[in-house]
Amino acid sequence: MKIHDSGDVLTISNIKELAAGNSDSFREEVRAAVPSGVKAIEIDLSDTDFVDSCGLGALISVYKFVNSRNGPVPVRLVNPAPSIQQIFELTRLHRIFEIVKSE
Amino acid sequence: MTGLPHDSATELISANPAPSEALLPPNGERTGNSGPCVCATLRTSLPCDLSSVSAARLELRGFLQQHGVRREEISACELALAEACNNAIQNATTDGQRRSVDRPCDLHPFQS
Repeated sequence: MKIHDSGDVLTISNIKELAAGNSDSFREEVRAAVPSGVKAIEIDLSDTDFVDSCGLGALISVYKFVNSRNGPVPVRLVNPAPSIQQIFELTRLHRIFEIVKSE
Repeated sequence: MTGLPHDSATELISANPAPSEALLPPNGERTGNSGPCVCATLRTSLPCDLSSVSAARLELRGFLQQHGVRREEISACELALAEACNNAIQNATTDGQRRSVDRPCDLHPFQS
């Protein structure tokens, strides 16, 4: 997993999966990397081929963390695979996270 | 088999290993009332450890791909396997934590 802080936007990428086996470490690493005053979080799911309920919990935890510290901060999920996007839609989490398709 | 930790065991029992057609019955034919027909079975045994679930999931994915299962159905099966294993591991008793988690997966012919 890679974390890049450009000042206003924290970008997390190279995530192979978000599942029970790594969701705790994902949550802790991202929370530790969130700078004060961050304007947006972008989580690149291009390389992610699996998300389970623990992974969803980790994403929700990150969302609640940044929004409790810095006011309204969008958390964008970039390029999720169709099967993963379906999970966000089934759980209605696409109303919480911004799902972004980039080139 | 590869992909599982050394203390895991995976057994593939394939009665009809041909891909794709293995899940499709001949035209109009049904399996009848003699019980479900099993094309192939994957038996996976993994340690009672959350970090082992991913390898078991990938093992299942390979097995289903080999038998021509559609991608959307594979994703659903992977999620079901992972959630079931996660629950079994996270809620295991102290005694249960010393045992393996056994997950059989049976493939049945498609019936409409």
